[in-house]
Amino acid sequence: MRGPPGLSSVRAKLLAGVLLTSIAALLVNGVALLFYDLRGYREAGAKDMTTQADLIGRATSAALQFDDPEFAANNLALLRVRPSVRAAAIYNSRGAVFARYFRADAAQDVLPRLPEADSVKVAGDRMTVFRRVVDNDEILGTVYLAADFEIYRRLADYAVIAGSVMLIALLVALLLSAWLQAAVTRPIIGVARLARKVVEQRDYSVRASKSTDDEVGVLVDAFNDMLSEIERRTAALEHSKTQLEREAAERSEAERALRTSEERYRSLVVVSAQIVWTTNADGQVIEPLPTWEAYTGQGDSEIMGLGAADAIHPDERGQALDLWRQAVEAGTPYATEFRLRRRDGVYRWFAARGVPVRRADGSIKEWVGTCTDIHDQKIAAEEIQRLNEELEQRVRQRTAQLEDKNRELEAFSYSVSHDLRAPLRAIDGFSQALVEDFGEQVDEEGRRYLSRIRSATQRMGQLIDDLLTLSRISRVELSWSTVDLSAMARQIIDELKHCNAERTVEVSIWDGVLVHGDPRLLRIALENLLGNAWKFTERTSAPRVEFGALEDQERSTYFVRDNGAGFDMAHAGNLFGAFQRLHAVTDFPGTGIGLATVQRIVHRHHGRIWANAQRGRGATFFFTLGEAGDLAQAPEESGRSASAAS
Amino acid sequence: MAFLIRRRPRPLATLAVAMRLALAVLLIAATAASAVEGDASTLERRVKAAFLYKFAGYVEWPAQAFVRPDDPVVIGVVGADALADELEQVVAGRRVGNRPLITRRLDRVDPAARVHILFVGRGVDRGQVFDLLARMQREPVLTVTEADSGWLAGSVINFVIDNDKVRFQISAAAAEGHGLRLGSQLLAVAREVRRGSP
Repeated sequence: MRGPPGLSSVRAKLLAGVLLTSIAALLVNGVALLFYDLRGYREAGAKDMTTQADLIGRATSAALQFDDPEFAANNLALLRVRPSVRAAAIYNSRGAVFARYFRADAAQDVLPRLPEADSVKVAGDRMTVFRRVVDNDEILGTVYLAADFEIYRRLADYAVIAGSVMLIALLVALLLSAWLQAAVTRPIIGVARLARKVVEQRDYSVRASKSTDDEVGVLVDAFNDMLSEIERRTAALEHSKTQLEREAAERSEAERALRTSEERYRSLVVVSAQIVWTTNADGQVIEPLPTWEAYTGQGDSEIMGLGAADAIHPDERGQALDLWRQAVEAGTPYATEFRLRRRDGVYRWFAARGVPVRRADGSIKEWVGTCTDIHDQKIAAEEIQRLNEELEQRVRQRTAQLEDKNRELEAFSYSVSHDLRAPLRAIDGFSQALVEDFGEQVDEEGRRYLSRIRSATQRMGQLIDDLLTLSRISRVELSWSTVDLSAMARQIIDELKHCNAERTVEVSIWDGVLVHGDPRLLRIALENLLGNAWKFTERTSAPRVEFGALEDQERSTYFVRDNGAGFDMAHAGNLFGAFQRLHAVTDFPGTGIGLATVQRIVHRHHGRIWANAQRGRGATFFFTLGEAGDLAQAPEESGRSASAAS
Repeated sequence: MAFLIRRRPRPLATLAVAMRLALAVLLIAATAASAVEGDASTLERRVKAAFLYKFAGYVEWPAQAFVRPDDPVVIGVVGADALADELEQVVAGRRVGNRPLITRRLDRVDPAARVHILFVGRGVDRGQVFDLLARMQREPVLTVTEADSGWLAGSVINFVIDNDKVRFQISAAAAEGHGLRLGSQLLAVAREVRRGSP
């Protein structure tokens, strides 16, 4: 059969493949077997000889012990039945030959002069064995054996057998491959012819016929599938080509429109007073920024990466870059202010703003931003700030001066009050002495005068005491601690009840009003407020006094309420001045210093005090105690307790 | 019955043993130098002493001959003081299996003497040899003699000189009488093995 060129080589390759495979397998097999067999042969030989030597040793141990070489020689002579043993000897414990044996054809063999330790040696076609004869842990002597070891003959036998087997195997392989070839190559040749036809005529509609179901059958199927696929692809290609041409036309139109709009935008940027900048998603400048370059005078290459930042004033550069890196990392808008170097070297303040431009999937495409000149505003703001600070400084100075004056004044009034008390005490004391010692010598009218003198001096003494309290309150250092105003108020009310046992007042004091402040001063304040409430309800039919606290979000407001005489709110402005009285002394006694004292105490606690009242309908005094005064605990409405005084 | 055992004090210290070995080597060397061929009897004595020790390896005593597995094999020597000296040097530090070897010089022999090998030397006169062996007849003792008289008197092993070499005869029957089993190899190297009753 004359096939197309190339196929003959396939046949040759198939044949060569089969033959080479067979030869390789046989060779490997043969060599492995040979080595295995030779090793086994050597080991078996060694074991056999060692055993033989041991047997001889055991049989001749007595002969060695009792120095009987004849017996040993007789024993060795039995080796005649082992024709492979050429020579044998027994050495005594001193290493001398004790008995010997030679095969008839090996009489010229030479025995080793001295015995060796237990060993098996193969040298050429000889195997020699030494075995010690040991009895009762004592070395009695050594047995030596020398035997033929016919390894070359065995090798030759092997080569002959292996060669014959290989030859026969190759012959069989040759016949088999020749038969197989025809079955394999024929369908391939069919496919090859068809392929040539397809290539030459470009006719993709022909199909190969399938004759077998093996790999060649699969090949035919694959070839046919390939032809179908090529046919289909060719049609699809034609179709997509026309589509692509249409799309290309559309795209170039769109690109032209985009270019126009981009140019418009660029011109706008160039003419705008603002600096406009763009960076890539990593915050690096990758394209020229005309407005930036126009302002700073930097070149295209200078601004790339983060080079643009070189134009920022060194004082702000670090922070501006840090914020920029943070914004880029987080993808959040960027905003900062910095001084920017104009091309003439002058720095001006700019407000920089940047935002990320995102793709449809949310990832950042690039950043765009502006820098706006805010230099004039910034300078103006700084000037205002400076003026404000100056003003505050002046206010502080004035306040300090004022406080000094106040302190001087208070010190003065304190010493004056103090000095006034001494003569007052003398007047009062001597008046009393007059009444007691000379009362009978003075008539009724004189005694009344004396009583008027005494009450006036006592009132003046009270006035001086109050004044002293007022000035002391201004000077004393506050000692801060937690104060239970509720408990304090109850104590004060108890004392008032004690002094005015004839009065019945309904008193309501909320529980748990805790504050932080000076207990002594707070007591004076509460005494004054509750004392007022007590006093001004004297002429009310159902008197009521209440103390409590109102909770705001930030601070507590404490209050003292009564339903007594009240006052006209028109006079509320004078309420807390010293010596200001809204009622006649004859109606309600007092020095007019109490509320001034309360206000001073509240102020010392950084608080505020105010009042709410109506003439004849009672009054409520509110006060706060500044931040330090409030405690977290809010007074609870439910804990409010009411007690009625009898 | 009273009996006397002349026994040399046995030094236990290894050093002493080593010193004695060294002395023996010196003695042997001296002997070899002075009387290589002159004193044939010295050589003969030495060979016999060595054989006596080696016999122990080929003999199987009945169980009652020993109490414990490591009891020593006691070799009694009568009428051969020089050989006893030799033997002492040979067995020093040697063992047969687990058993050490001990040499005892005996003036008289008694079944209660508890020896495992008894060598009767030429120093014992003929009549006494008969008497001695007769007394030990049923004991588990390997009796060894070195004269025809001993052989006639029924010893198990008797040394003979054959071709200027020390050889020995064995009476398998006598061994059987003492309850001993002798290794076949020992029998194989004997010059003569007598079976049946003497």
